[in-house]
Amino acid sequence: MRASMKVAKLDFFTMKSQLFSYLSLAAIVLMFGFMGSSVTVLCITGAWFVALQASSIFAIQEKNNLDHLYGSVSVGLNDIVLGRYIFMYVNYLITVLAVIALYFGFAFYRNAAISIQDIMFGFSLSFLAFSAITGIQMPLYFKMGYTKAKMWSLIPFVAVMAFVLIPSFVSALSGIVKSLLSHTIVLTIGGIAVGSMIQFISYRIAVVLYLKRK
Amino acid sequence: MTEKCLELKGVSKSFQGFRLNHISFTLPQGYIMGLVGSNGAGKTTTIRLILNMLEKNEGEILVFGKDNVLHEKAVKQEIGVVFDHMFYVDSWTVRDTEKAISIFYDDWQHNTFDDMIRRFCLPQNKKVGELSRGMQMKLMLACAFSHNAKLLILDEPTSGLDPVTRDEFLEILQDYIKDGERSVLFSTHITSDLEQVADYITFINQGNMIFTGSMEDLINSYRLVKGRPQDLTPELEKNIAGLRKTNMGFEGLIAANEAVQYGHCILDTATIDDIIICMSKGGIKK
Repeated sequence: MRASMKVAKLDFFTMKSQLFSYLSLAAIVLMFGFMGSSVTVLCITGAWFVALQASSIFAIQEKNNLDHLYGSVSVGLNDIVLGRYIFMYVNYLITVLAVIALYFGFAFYRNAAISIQDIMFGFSLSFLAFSAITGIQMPLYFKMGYTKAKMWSLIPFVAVMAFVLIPSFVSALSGIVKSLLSHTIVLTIGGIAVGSMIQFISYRIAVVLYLKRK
Repeated sequence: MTEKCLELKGVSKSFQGFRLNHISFTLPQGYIMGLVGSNGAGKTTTIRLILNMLEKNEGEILVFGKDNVLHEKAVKQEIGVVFDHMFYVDSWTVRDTEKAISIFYDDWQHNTFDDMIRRFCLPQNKKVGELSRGMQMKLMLACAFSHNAKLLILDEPTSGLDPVTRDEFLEILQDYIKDGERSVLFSTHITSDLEQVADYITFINQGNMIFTGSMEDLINSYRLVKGRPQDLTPELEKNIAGLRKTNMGFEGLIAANEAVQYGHCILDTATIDDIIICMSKGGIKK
C-alpha cells in the first residue's frame, strides 16, 4: 500500500469519533428531500458538509500532536499532504453517493422520474463547490495549523456563497448565469474539470507550504 | 567492530534566536546514550532533526549507515519513538491504536503487541485520553517494540512519571537492549535516570556540544573544586565553570586535566548534575 493511502486510512481512523455527525447531514438531506429540493441542492449540501468537516481533521491533528505521529512513522511529508487530499476526496465521494442514493429513494417514494443528466449536473456543481472551498482551506491549514487558520478558512465559504448570491442581485450577471445553465452538459464537464484543476493546484501549494514548516 | 547505529556529523540548525551548532556524536549498536542538557539546550531539536521533522542547515545524519533524509521511509521502519507527551488520538482505544499504527510498518508483530499490553497491564478497551501518563508512555513503548525497532528514540519520556513507574520504565529499556542489536537515544534532564542505564552521554548546552563519550569519560573529565576564599587565585577563577563564592569559600567545576595544578584545594568527583548545572552557568570548555 502506498504511503499516502496509509495516511488516508489513518485519517479515517482519526475521524472515527466524528462519524455520528454525519447523522445530522442525513437529517438535513432528508428534510430537504421531503421539501422537494433538487438533486443539485442535495449534492451541494453534502459537499458543503464535507468541506466543513475538513476543519475537524486538522483540529484533531493539532489537539493530539499528530504531527509528532507523522514524524515518527514511515511516511514523507508529501504523503501526509496527498493522504489528506485523498481522505477528503473519498469522504466527499462517499457522502455525495449516499446523498444520491437518498435522492433515488425519494424519487422511488414519489414515483418521480430520475434524470441521470440532473444527477451528473448536481455531482459536478457539488464537486466544483467542494473543490473551491477545500482547495483554499487545505493549504491554509497545512501552512498555519488549525488554530491560526480557522478564521481564514471561513473565507472560501463566504466567497462561494457570494458567488452564488451576487447574480441574484445583479441583473446583468443573472442573464449570464441563465445562459450558462442552459448548457448543462458543458457545465457538467466544465465543473468536474475546473474542480479537478483546483484540487491539483491546491495540493501542489499545500505541499510547498507544509514543507516550509520544517 | 561495533556497528554504528546512529551518527551525527556537524549537524546545525538555525532558528530566530537559537542555533544548534555542529552537533556530532555516534551511538554504537547495543548501547543506551543519554542526551542531556538544560531546558532549551537543543535536545528536542536534535531529535526532530534525526526524525527529519526539521530540515537541517548543514551536516549529515546516518541511521544504520543510511542518510535519514534520502532513506527516510526505510530508516523509520527501524526507529521507535516515544515523546514526552502522547501523540495518538485521545478517542482511540488501545486496540484502535494498534490498528492505526500497524498500517505503517512492514514488520508489525501483533503477538508482540499483545504480549506488551499484557505485560504493561494496559486495558485494551480503554481510551488513550483516559490512560494515566505512565500508561500512555507504556502504550507508546508497546507500539515502538511491536514493529521490531532497532533504535528507540525517547524525548524526555520520564518527566512527570512517579519514581516507581520511572524505575519500571528504565528496567524495560535495559531489557530492550539485552540482545546487543538494539540501541536507545534517551533525552532527559533527570540525570539520575542516566546514571542507572546510560552507557554513553552527549551533553548539549545552549545549542553547542560540550561533551560526547562514555559516561565514565564524562565523569572523569571534570572535578568539583572547593576551597577557602584565599585559595581562589585569578588564574583558578578563569578555569572554573559555575563558580559560586561565599564568605566561607568557593565551589565550581574544573576540567580534570587542569585540576592537578590545584592540589591545595578540595577536588571531588562531579556528578552529571554538577556538570550540567555548572556548565549551564558558563565558564570552561572541555
